[in-house]
Amino acid sequence: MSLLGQSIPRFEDGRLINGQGQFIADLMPVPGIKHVAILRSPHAHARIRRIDTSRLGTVPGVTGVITGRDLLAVLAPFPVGVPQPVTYYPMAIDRVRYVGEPVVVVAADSRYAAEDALDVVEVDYDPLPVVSDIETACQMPPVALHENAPDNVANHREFTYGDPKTALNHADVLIQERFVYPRNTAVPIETYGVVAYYERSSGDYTVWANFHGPFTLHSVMAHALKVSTQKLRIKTPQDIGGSYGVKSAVYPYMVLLAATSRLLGCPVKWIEDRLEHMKASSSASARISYVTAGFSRDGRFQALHIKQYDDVGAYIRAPEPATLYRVHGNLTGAYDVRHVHLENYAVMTNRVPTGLVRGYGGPQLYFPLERIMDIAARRLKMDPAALRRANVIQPDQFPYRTASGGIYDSGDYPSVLNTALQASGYEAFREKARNLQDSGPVRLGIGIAVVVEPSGSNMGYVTIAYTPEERARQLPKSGAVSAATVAIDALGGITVQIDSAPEGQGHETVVRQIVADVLTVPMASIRVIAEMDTAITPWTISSGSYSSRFAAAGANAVFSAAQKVKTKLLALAAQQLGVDCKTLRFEEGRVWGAQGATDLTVKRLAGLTHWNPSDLPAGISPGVYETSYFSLPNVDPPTTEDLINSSATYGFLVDVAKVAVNTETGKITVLDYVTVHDAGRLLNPLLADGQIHGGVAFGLGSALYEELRYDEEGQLLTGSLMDYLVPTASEMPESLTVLHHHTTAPGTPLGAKGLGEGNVMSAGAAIANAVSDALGVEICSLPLSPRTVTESVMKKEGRG
Amino acid sequence: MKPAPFDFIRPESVDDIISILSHTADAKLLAGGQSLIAMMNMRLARPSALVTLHGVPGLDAIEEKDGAVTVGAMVVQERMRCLMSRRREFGALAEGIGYIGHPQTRSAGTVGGSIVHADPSAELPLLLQVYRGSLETVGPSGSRHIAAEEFFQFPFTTALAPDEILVATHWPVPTISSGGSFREFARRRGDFAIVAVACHISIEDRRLIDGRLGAAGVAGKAVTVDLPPDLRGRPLITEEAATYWLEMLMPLLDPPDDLEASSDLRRTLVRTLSREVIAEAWVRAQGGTP
Amino acid sequence: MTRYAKDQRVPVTLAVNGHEYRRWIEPRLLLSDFLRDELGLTGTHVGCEHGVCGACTILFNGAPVRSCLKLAIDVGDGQITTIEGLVKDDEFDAFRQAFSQNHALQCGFCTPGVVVSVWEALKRASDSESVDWNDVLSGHLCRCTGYVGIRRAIMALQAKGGGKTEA
Repeated sequence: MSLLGQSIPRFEDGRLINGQGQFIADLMPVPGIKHVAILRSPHAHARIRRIDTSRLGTVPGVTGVITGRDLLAVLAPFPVGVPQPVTYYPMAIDRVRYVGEPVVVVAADSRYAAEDALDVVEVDYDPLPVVSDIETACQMPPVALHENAPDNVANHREFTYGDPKTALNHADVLIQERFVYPRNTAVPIETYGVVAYYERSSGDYTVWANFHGPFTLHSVMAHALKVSTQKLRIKTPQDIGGSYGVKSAVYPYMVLLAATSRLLGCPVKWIEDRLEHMKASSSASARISYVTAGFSRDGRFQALHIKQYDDVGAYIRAPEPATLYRVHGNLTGAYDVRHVHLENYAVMTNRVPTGLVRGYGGPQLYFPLERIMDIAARRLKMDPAALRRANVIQPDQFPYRTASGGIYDSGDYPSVLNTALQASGYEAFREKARNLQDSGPVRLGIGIAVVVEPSGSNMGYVTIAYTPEERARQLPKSGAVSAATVAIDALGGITVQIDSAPEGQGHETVVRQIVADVLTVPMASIRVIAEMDTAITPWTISSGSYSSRFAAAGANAVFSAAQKVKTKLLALAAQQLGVDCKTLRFEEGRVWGAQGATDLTVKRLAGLTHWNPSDLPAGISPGVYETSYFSLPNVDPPTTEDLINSSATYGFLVDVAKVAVNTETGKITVLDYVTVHDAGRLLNPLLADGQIHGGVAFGLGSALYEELRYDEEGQLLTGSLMDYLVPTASEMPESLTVLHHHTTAPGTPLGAKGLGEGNVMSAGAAIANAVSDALGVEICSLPLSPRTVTESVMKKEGRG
Repeated sequence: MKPAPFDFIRPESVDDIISILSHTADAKLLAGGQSLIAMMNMRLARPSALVTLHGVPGLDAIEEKDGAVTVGAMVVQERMRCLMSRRREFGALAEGIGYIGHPQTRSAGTVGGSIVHADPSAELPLLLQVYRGSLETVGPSGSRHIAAEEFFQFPFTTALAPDEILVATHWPVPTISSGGSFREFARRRGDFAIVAVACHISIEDRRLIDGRLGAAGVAGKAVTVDLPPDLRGRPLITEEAATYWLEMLMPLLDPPDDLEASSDLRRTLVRTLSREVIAEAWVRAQGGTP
Repeated sequence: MTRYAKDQRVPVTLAVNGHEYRRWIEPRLLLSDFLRDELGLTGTHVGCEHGVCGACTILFNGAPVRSCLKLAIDVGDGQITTIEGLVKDDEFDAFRQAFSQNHALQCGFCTPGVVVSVWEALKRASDSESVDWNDVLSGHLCRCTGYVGIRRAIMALQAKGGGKTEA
């Protein structure tokens, strides 16, 4: 029986439960490491008048100090994917643009001593006006953050698909609303960590970091360090303590530490502390969206117009403005809408630069889109479920090309929607909620969110930030590729090297399932190396763990490498046995022919290639070391009409949330949460459900608790874990049901799609829809605190 | 996030501590450290000397005599919670302590530390006032007993002199026919209270004889109000009576307006939670467990 | 009375996992850093250093506490147990199995702290004390599992006779 598809507990677990994981903070990979602390700007915007480090000599144990100007000797600004890049270095030079921006780096014998050293560094600032509001920043800019962006707009693009103007003019009902999605962040329990070593004789850099996608930004880092890529070797530790996207923004610190090592002449280590992380690591982009949706009287969704402003922070930083484009192909969600107008602005403000956070671009899109569906249902006097049912793409429309160029590979949206409604007891609860009205302060509400979940990002999608004319002057970019190697040593030991740098997803286990199935060997005979080393790991530009790409891309690369090994060993077996290869197969780690089992095992065949290569037949090379690059289909560069299939596959999910809201206290209780996913074939249901549970918790946090709040001076008000509220076990829904449909992904051998991000895209909308339903108000911003709930009740009652 | 350097002093007696406090400016006493060490890790607190209270004899006993339970300043909150969970007459006490942080912080955080910190939203200062407790302090001129009402003054400010230390809190034992209840509204379990409310009620011959209602998080310190005289002797607390009582608390409120809650929301929460705790304290005083 | 100057190295002897360790330390050294950097017990993880996340939770005289809010110099003769100490217990195998089979961890960074707390609470539960599992678990932040697998693991351990309350 196939191991793939079974709920197999993880091989990773033993070491992690025992406390024997190897995380970046645990590593001292070279001798003589000094510890780094970073002095950060207390101002959101200021000129640096003077930096005085003269008193450092009074602090014991200090190795050296680096200021922003020192970096100019060894660094170039980071490249960015917009036509007019801003000058971005990993440390402020003469001017700070967000609270927490690095200003001085000190290395010392211990972190304690390094922090002591920061105490005696004096910096004088001349404060400048602060740009905090997104719309003010670009419409009435009080100050330009960067010279070549006088209106603080880093990227502006407009897209028209179909004839949205006419369609909106002819719509019976127009829904118009402004939505605000807040800045929130991922909060992995392990913070960033970097060790960097510059070897003077060769000029080679080696950087260890808990970066889960080293190759995506390897070229960006090498460019900043002004070296060719082979001179920057990046290694990840065996274990990474969560990322949820946000650790991709460790890369500026990797460059900063690399430069520090070079300038100070010693290896350096920096473990970010929690206050640094909250203030100055990265965050999701806040977004203001103006949405106009046109419907026919009978509920047909005809046209969509979105104008959206992303707050990308003080510097537009790669891969931004990708938050605006990651979901470009699935802009219309699950609905068959052909007329779309989109206007995108990436706006710079005096806040920490943004980047990947689980769901990347998804919650910013689906919160407005799925709220619009509920608002429209109310206006049309339709049930929100019925309105969705009337507009979702039908099974016979697949593969479905969206107006903006996405190619939805497969799905059965009506069935998934029905399963979710039934599992939640939708109708009965609506009835119960209606009966409860006007009896006491508690109101019940139910909300749906319907999400097409992209996975396996097309590396070309970011280039849609450029106009077709600008793109025409560049080389095209595309693809969603993954690589893996399967090797067998002289005694039959199997090692698999993967390129996903996982941080908890369980790839080491799924890889064993795949390879054990192909070679019919026990999973215990396989070792999986998941940590990456850019100098020796087979890699691709897109390698790493993001955009839920392992199930769709990484797993298939492993499968394909294992197939290569199998093909080679069977060819060798055929030669040994003097039979046709096609008559042979593997079973229980042994070659079987027409007459049954032979004495040729995987171990024996692999041994032949190592111990006695001179007897190998023509066409069979020594050793067993097979690398495979797997490329997902349909991920082409953007067309001249700005059509882009931004992801390789698209899963689907429907969430139904039931809430009780106390109108007096503002307390929201999530009574019940149902989520039904269709991610194609599940490689390991135990792990798939774990991803979904985590996604729901994440989405619930964004709906009810989490926000990086700033005051008008750009100071972070929620900068500790006492103020930035991550849900604990007590805040989880009282009941959580996870169900699955299985519409196979047609373009891949394993038929799986990603599923870890969907609930982050859906939960905010589902819960906001439920609360809106309970209160009879239209919630248009997140998170929903007792304060915002009571204020919206008061506003409705005319008291606010 | 590492503390700045400090001298570390290990006293052997309460006298040692007083002598240190008299002679070392800027010395800080270290009890459970759940607030202080966190502040020091952030370098928001930078005492030049830290005086540990661990190992100083006489600070971590719980004993009952003369009608009061005396809780040493260094008794950890979780120990007091476990002990009080078996004392029905202190109904609000174990319940209220259970709202302080988490077991992992209550196992190190001390009763005295929380009292002296005097956070206006904290549970123990509210409870000590609702139970009409007092504090025993020692300074250069000997010991003092201070009523809880007088001890807490402003946010994070108490009547403790700079060279004095808190050695114990005294909790008068209510009559056996007493009931108490505690409720807290916070964003997440274990967070600092937005509003906390506690009520204690004593009955005799099925009639109300005494009670106190209090709230935290709504003024510079916890506020309390005694059972109104005209409710004494009544055979039950009706909803109107409860409202009458709690409305006497309302003028004492000066609720802050912050990210989490407006002043109005805090007032509403005091009303809602007060109704709940009064009703529950009443039922418990009669021996019931609602 | 003893006074140690801030720049002085102080000899301390700490009892950790049943062994006594003698080290010279600065007065300000946090217990979490002592365990990790002085003893190499890197199973105790540091996630926030202000007592909220729970990753650094250890047992101090049998009770779960945050090691980031304790000074190594102030531990005295308290008995410290870290995850490395629990692993040596005969009963730990069942624990590891329950956590793994119920997928109670993903990245594993919060896990040692969670395990320490759950271990202690299950001991209390088996001593017939009532345990409020929301109270226990809320002392830990996990960003991966939504706490679903952790609750399932606790239920599985309780079903095997580890106490009477429900997770």
